[in-house]
Amino acid sequence: MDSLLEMRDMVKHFPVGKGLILSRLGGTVKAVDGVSLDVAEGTTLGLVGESGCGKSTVARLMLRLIKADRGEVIFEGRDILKLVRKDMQVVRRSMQIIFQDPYASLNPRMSVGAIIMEPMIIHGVGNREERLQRAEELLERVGLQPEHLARYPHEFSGGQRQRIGVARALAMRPRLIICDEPVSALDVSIQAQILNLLKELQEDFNLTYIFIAHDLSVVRHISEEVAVMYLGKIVERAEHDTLYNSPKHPYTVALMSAVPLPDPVKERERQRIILVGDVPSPIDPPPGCRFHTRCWKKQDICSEVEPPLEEKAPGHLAACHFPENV
Amino acid sequence: MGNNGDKLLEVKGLKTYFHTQEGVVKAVDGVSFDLHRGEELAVVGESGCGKSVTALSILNLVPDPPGKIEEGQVLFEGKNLLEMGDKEIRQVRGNHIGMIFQDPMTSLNPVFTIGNQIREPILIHLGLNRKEAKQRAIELLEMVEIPQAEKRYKMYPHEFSGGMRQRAMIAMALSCEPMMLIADEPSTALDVTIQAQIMELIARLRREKNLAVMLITHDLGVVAGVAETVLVMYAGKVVEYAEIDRIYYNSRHPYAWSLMRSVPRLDEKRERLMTIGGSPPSLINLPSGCSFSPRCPFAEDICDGEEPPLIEAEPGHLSACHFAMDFESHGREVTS
Repeated sequence: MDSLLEMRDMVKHFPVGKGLILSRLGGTVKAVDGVSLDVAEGTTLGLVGESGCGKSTVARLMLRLIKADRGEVIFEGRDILKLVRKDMQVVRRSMQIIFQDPYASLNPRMSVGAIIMEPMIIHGVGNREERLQRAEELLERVGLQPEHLARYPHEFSGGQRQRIGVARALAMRPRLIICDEPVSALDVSIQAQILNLLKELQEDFNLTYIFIAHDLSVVRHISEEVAVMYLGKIVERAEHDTLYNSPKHPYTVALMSAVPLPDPVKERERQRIILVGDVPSPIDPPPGCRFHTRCWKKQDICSEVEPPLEEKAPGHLAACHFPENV
Repeated sequence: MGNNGDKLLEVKGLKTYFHTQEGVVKAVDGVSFDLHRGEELAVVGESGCGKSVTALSILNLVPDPPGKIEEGQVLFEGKNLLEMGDKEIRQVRGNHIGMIFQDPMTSLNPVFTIGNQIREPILIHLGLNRKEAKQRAIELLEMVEIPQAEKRYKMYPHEFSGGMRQRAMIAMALSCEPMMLIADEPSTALDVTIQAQIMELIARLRREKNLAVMLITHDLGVVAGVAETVLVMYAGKVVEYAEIDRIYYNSRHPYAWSLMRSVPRLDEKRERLMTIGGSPPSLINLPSGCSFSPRCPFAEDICDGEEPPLIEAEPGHLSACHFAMDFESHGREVTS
């Protein structure tokens, strides 16, 4: 299948400690360090990792919201990082984002109608009536009422606000939507509503999603393919059932083992792998395999040679010298 | 509920209201439960259901005004905490009941060292001198598995990671060997691998010290591995209260029942998740009858008109639903 979006060898380092005092510390946060990903049209790629692993930076790089240090982002066959401003603006219509916090991502001083119509105004789509009509359609499509157009974000609950964010993302009829932790700020009973809505919209409009989350259960539910990130690198990538049934990278194994199951009997019988310590600092990541400081399978080679991300089984990539389940 | 040992805490008919300009918020509206020595009770519910206010009310920590404990008793070893004076209740807090919160960064004071903060309750409650207290604090840091405890003792909260801060909070909460620990969403702000570490630590300390734990959470997964008894709250009320397996496998209340079916699970892929329509009600303006009825998949006319009492649907299993007695057959009828 052709990929709609492909990211190649992406690198993004953020300098730390600008200014007089901190500049002596120097160093850079290696937020994204050689990431390659691709997603086929009409499918969902889940991107999982713990806080600080670089997953949100990947999202912003894909949309060219921040400047990449190195690498390519091929969207619809073109490297968008090389496009001039005018061409980039045209491409932006096809790529949208939904944010984590529905309280921070909607302007409290704009009515819902103005929020949804803003992208259409920016891109010069339709006249006033057409925009209004489209906004009404969109609101209905995401499960709200047309009369909500005149209201303001504070009048809505978290779940409803996230629906408004979805309507705004849909306004330009995009092909790709990046969902950056779209349900993690919502109550349990509301999460399912939004997940089901995203699935329906994908089927109706043949949308492609990059779904970023720290919650492996949510990602499993929505994604066809899953990539696991650790300290700025992809450590494992596979089709979702393969990944969940036979994870190869010890980090993935540990991550899955840490997710509690809502099932008391299974929980009591489960053998947990509990990782020791915290994620190391991305300013000074460990040499060799970045996971070796917390890995229970660590050998001498792990702290010396960085394992490449390579195929351990058909269609199943992992970056580990001693993979599991092989 | 749970009969392993004698009753440590007994909450009876607790009502905590907040008097705001918009009206009276009935945050906790008639909550009763027991906690035995060494028992782990999970209080489960969504944001705004009253679970945290219940915990704060137990220690009489509700900010007044606007909050006020209107009615009820909190008996700890038979003594009513709500009738105690300031001095007396301070002896209970920290000394007998420790508490940890969701966000360890905001519960630690950024301008004092970790050691200083752990030492404080020891100096106040245990009457040790400074040197002994320091020694004890370092032992506590070791107990919660903080490496290089002596070095860490001198550090400030900002030098600690989220998981280590929560460990320091646990050390502080357990510094005076309390009999009971209230943990309010202790792992929610943490990454999943760190969350597993913290839950494991609490479980280990509970076993070693025969601690009674009241775990407050919205996460049905976190509860499953550790709790013995579960109290499900919705809109300020207890809607279901039973031993954990009954809640998970034979729920007799449509809220818990549908919540279980709406969470995505790691161990299976569901095509479509069941959803609970709408959102939790405003506590100022509760729906008439059963608060859950507007969102309930099985609601009948009676549910809007009459509030269901919390009844014993089977021995040891309380549920506040008009159809609690024949929940399964009623559910089948409606869904078919």
